[in-house]
Amino acid sequence: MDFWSFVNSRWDKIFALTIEHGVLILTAMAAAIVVGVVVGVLITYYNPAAHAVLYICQILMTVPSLAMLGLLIPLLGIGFWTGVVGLILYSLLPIVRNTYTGIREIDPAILEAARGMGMNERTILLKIKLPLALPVIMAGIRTATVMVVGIGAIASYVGAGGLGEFIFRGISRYNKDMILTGAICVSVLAIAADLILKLVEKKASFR
Amino acid sequence: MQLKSWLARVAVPLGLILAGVAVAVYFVENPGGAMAARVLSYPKVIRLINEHLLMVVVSSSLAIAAAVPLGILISRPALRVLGIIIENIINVAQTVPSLAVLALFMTILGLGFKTAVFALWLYSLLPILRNTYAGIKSVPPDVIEAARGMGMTPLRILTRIELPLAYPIVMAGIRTAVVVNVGTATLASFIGAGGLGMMIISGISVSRPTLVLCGALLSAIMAILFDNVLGQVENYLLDRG
Amino acid sequence: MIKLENVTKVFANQETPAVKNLNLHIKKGEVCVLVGPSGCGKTTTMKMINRLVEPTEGTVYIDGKDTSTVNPIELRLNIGYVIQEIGLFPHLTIAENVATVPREKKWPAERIRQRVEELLNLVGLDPQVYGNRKPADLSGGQRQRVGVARAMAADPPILLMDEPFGAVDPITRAKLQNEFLRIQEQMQKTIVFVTHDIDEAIKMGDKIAVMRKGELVQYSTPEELLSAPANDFVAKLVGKNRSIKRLHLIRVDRVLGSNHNVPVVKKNTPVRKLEELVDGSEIGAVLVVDERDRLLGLASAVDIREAGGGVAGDIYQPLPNTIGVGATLSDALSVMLNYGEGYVAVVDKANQLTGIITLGFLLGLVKEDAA
Ligand SMILES: Nc1ncnc2c1ncn2[C@@H]1O[C@H](COP(=O)(O)OP(=O)(O)O)[C@@H](O)[C@H]1O
Ligand SMILES: [Mg+2]
Repeated sequence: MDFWSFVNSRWDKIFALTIEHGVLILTAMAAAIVVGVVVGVLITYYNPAAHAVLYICQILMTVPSLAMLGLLIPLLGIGFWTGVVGLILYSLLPIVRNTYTGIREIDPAILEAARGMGMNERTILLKIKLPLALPVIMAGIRTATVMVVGIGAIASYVGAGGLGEFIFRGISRYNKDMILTGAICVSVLAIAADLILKLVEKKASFR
Repeated sequence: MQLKSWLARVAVPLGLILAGVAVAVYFVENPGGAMAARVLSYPKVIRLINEHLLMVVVSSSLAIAAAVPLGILISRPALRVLGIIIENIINVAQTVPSLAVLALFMTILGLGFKTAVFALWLYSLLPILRNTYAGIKSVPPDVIEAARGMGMTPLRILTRIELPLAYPIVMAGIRTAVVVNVGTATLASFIGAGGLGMMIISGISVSRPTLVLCGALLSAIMAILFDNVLGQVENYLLDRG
Repeated sequence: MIKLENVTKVFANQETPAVKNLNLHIKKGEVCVLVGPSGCGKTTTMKMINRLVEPTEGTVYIDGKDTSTVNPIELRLNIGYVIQEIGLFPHLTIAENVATVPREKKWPAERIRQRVEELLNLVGLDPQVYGNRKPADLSGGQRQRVGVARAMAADPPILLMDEPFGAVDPITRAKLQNEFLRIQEQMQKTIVFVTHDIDEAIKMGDKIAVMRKGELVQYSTPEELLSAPANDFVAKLVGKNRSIKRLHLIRVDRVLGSNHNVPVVKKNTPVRKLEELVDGSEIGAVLVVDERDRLLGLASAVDIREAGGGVAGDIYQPLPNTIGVGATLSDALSVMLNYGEGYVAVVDKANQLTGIITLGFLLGLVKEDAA
């Protein structure tokens, strides 16, 4: 009951933090997709680099997100951009890895046929490889996005704003309604992102 | 020959432990100011490492002990419908962020170590349960059919065919769960469970990068250590059949 | 050996029965092939024998015993089982795969090892080379062989085989079929063999059970099936070139008997006696055998007339155009064409004469079909 009255009294705040959270995630994801796909494509042309890059990404993932965000403070200070950079670092691994394997797993016969028809590498990449790898890349983007929604909540602790503020403020004031509101909103956002991107993924694989 | 392979096996974990000790010693000796030195003393660092380890080990082992048998249970043909329902619930539940899980259980169970262990337990239960179920379900039906047709009992099919074939997938689930668990446990400090997160949180709040770095390195090393050891356990068990 | 009595299977949530009131009697040592279009109930029928599927109605007897009274595990341990997808255990070696049932039966290790070696040799895989490999390292044909070896591991009197050669290319399939026939000649198992390929059915079967929509349409020998299809459905299944098929698929030993009138005489038969016999001979000659029925040669009407006296053993000429009992009718035809003679003698391994195939007989078959 208390919970509902809390929610009712804070609609505007909930709305504002949700928007803030969304902007944080979209900014980070936009950058991560560009960087991740480019890196993922580049390393398909040079195998030793691929293993090194994927290994580094994997090590990055073992650093707890709270620590990663904290380490960025001396470099970037406190605020929105610290959060964005932290989120980008975490979302790189799934996107790079899936771009790489998505392209790697294309039937070599298809690529040979394309070369045999006289397509140049640029055309093959844009017209054959990327479209064929798209479902796998999309799956990587989905994993990354869901993860980033969660880490975005932690990023509130380094001043990036978003729904995590409810949780942290709630913990420090021991306000259960506030914590509950934050936790539920973040969870709903993550589940919604997952569902929406699942649909997009399905669309991508039908072609 | 045997000594060599044995050395190769312990070299990496030993190196990681040494690296961890070196990190701890370095930062305690060079705390970078009196503010950080309050957290960076030997007894305090050891206590935080212990708390962190305890949280991870207790929640992970309890998660394995619960998830593997449960995964086997819901993969039985008689419980097909239940299995599908649980699989879908897990898929949704896994997208719930770890911070939200910890926060939610705090509102129910209050602050403290036990709450953290419970939340971590539940959170690592999911990937292990899902992989155990998926691993057993991934055994080709014709293999099961052949085993049944040759007169193997359901129990023998489980122990000799299904579990060995599902084993790598189950182990992958356990490794993911434990590595994620080490990271999530840093968040447990927010709900008063101690652990390495304390270093990071105090480092952020008093803006002392040495503290954050020390906590970050120690927890990362711990995650890699667990991953390596579990990988070796996996291979060891695989060799023994 | 195996008897299905009024067996019906209706799967849950289905209206039409998958198998309808089926009666089938399979004798010991026989290969019974279940054939018919996909979905007609062959697999279901077969699985009711080892109780992977329980009949809705009716009874399955093995050696006169109602199988529903036998523990299914016990039952299955004594019935070899091969499925199309083979279902080799991917995590176990070839040797371990073959050892499955003996292990379930708790044979001593040494006996299992010997048996595995023996079986791998039997199916033409060197145990030293293949024993320790995993199924993934084998070709499709080799995997099928392992599947067969695994099914025979504990020497079960009965084998159930569901499209065992379905997943390999035609050349490998023919090879596996021939090997299988060779092994079966030694083993004399009672075999239920499922296929949707009528040619395979005719080649492999001692008896063929044609099924359609869960019902048994015809149960007969391959020859009967080809010469007297029970109805249009069977005739269509058998196809247009029935006579050519018969030539290609039917083994000579199946048609030997009273299909010719060529006299056979012992070598001590007086020539005078031969003069009467040769008149009635379809090929204008008589065949001469020794006291143990081994083929010596033939004596033509001309030889007999010119000899005037003596016994058959003095005047016969060697006969090069012979074939073994395992050959097909078309083999017989090509031998005839090669030698420019209208007949070919059929002998077994010990060179004993078991019969003769004449051109007239082959023509008769073709005419029968044309009619
Ligand atoms: N386990 C099952 N549950 C429901 N229906 C089945 C099952 N197995 C087979 N059927 C149905 O029974 C019929 C006969 O199947 P089957 O015996 O496999 O045919 P065949 O082996 O001749 O291709 C088919 O219509 C099939 O769909
Ligand atoms: Mg079938």
